Amino acid sequence: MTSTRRQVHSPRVRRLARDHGVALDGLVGTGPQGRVTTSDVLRLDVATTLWDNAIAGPQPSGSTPADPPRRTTAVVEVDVTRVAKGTHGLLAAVIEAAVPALRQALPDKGAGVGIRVVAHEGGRERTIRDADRLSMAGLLRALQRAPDEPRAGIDARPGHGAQPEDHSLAVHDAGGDGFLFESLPMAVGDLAALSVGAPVERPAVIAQPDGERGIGIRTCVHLALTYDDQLPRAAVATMLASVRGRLERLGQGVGGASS
Amino acid sequence: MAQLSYRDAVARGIAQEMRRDDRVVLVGEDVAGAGGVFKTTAGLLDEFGPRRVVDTPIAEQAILGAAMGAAMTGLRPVAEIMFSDFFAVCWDIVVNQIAKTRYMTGGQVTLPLVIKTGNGGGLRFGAQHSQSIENWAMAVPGIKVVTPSTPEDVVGLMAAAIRDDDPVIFCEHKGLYSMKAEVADGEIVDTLGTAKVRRAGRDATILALGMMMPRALAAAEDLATRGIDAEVIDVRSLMPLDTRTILASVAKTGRLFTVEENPQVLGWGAEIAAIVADEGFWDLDGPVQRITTPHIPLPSADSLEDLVMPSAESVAGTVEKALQS
Amino acid sequence: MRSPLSDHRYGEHGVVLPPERRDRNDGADIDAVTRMRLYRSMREMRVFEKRAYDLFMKQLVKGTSHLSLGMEAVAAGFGAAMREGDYTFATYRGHAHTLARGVPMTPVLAELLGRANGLMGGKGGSMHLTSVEHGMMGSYAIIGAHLTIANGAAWSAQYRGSGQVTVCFFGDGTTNIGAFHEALNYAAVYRLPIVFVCENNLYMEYTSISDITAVPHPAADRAASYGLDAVVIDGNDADEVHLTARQAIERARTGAGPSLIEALTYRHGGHSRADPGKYRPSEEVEAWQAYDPLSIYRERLVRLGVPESDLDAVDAAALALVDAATEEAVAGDLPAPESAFTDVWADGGWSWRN
Repeated sequence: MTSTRRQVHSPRVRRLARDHGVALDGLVGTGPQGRVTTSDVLRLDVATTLWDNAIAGPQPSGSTPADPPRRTTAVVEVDVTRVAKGTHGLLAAVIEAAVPALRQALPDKGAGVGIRVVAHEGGRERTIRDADRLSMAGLLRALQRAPDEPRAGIDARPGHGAQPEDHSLAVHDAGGDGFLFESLPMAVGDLAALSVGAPVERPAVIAQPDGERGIGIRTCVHLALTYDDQLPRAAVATMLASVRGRLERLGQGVGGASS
Repeated sequence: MAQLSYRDAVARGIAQEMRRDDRVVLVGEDVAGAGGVFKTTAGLLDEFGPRRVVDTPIAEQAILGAAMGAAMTGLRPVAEIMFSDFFAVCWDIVVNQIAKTRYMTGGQVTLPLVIKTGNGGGLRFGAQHSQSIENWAMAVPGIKVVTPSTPEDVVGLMAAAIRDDDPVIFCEHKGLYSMKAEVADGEIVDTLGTAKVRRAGRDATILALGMMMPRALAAAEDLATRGIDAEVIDVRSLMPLDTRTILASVAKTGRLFTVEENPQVLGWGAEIAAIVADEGFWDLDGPVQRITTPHIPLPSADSLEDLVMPSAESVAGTVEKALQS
Repeated sequence: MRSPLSDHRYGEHGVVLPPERRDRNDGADIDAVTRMRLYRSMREMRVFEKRAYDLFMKQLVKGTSHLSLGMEAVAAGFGAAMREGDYTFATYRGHAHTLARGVPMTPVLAELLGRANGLMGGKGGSMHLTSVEHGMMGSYAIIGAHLTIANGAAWSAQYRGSGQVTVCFFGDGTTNIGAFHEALNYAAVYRLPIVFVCENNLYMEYTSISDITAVPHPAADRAASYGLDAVVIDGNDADEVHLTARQAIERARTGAGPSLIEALTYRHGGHSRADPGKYRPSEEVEAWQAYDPLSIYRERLVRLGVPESDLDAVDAAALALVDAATEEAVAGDLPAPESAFTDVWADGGWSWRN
């Protein structure tokens, strides 16, 4: 089903994409051999518009459905010294913290919204369904599983095994490429895209056993959340704070889940 | 309203104009006494007499030269070239004399003449009596070219051609002479330079003319049963060309196909394809494809002739395959 | 196979000498006024063609030109016999035929120079001189084609009962092409009011006409094939041409049908400007240049008592005309760029699409 040939878009598709603000890079469409069709372009534009309308309510008359969605990236630094390291340990921990926090950030706490995680690691993807029902161990197992078929980039179609009503949280291992953080593209169906940066050891202010403050060596990562109008800014701030809190309290006792 | 055949429509169109204008005369081989070898001028000698309906020797250059000289000096002749293949015999008069003289004389000369001709194949007459020559004619600046595909259009376009002050080549399709359709009574006058959408659609634009029109329409009906809604346009006039209608259709459907009886190279569709590739480029969702007879002379055996000319099946098949790839 | 050059080398064919007698037509039934008109007409043609040659040498006339030097008597003789409203059709060697119908020199010269004040605005050039207003229905550059077109004008006149006559001029080379035969048969069958005039200058372009024609008289010997009389005349004797023209035109005008006239003549120059004419034997050229239609006619007029001074005055007036025309033509503007796009169609435009 995937096309590995260079993407060729017809003049009509290119013009429609330009007019409707749809990015064609890496898009695989529903046409023969993965060709992006004119209806794909229009649907992409409409999909964003419909979701915008669902979140924000009826548009004021001056707005045009053709405006591209606004994307913002918010970055926090998290102390992950306590988090288990290892190939997938950090990623699993982030996912385990992020999914429930994301659900909290959605309108009506995302009732009826299925969230699946698409984990991007070294160019390979794994789609994890029902991520918020998995424990850390389960997440680890899912991450160790064989990845989905490699894709050149963001896939506009629902991933392997996805139900049409699922929405995804894309989690990218930016650290694998040595980045501190990345501002990420969002695919159709993504609620947000979270980049997990490379762990960096640095001197930090810590609380000493005697209550005084001292200098210690901590391992930090940057978490960068790219989101659009689906999520209000305040909710994003809360979400990231929640994720950071959870990751920084790991190992200090059972649970601690914010849900 | 009454049933009118394509061949009778020719005579009706000429008679309509001869009645209203004494300057209109008809000249050609066997057009008077015999009413035309295809019976397209039956009854005209009886109604208008031998002074206005003239039988000539077999002398195509003399016939067209006479038409030109008469048109220069006050008459409005209709001259017949019996089989359009014979244009090759008198092509000098058409392209060097008729097409260029107004221009060369700085507009001193006007040539309100019509050359009617039996055009096209499908009748097993063999290569020298079956050519479609519209593409030869549209390539020459200074002559207008029309090909009607229905009896009503025959009457209306013949009238328009005779009333036009420029030279017009009127291509009758020999394969359509027996075609019958309901045509309104009374005077019919059409407009040169206009195409007609015969079937509206959304998925593809198919252009055709002459005998390819019924085949294109049949193909469209077949395609509809397979979920492809084709728009079929009867080009009718190649010079002047109704590019507006064609471009508007391609803007709607994004796909263009031509169905041409002429051999492939530089058929009438080639020019239209080039225009669309230029002015309609950003509307195209796929390559422009021409469905034509291959670049060969036409064979005379019926099975071979049917094999090489575009058919409803070959048109539908090409369009469907293109839309799926 | 017997080829034209298997009997002789190129340019070394038999010499054709002009006629001997010169005073045969002194007593012809032509009044003095007409005679002076014939002389003046020929002189104007002569000075015009010479000027065209000079301007070509100065590269003011572009392309090519086919001059009538030495052939003026045919054009002048017929021109004087035609009425206003009669139609002339000529070949690309048509300058003299254009002047013969009363078209002024300036626009003709300006057309050769490609100027906006040219007869056709610079759109047609030397080979297509046309002035419908004067009955000059065009000069045509495809051998033979215009005979068929001339038939159409004759048919139109016949249809309308207007009494107009069409005179169609062409060269000896035309008599071997298909359109000639189609046109002659066609004209004879319909008894069209037309006079076909073959200006036999003994050469079809660069080849002797006798080498490539099956019969000795290229036009006259074909006449019988179309039920017409064989007529050969001295094309350098303006009176002979004029008398013949009168007769043939009258015949056509009264509905007696077409005529075919073969007029023997000779061109002083080559076929066209590019041609130095080396294929003609020098004795032949010299003999014919001595048998100049203008000299013959001048001598006749003097014999008939016309004062030399009158003839000199005519010569001077002709020169003055061509000088004035030269000045106006050379001063003419180049055609406006937009004019390249006018008059493809009857509405004056060139649009082929919407």
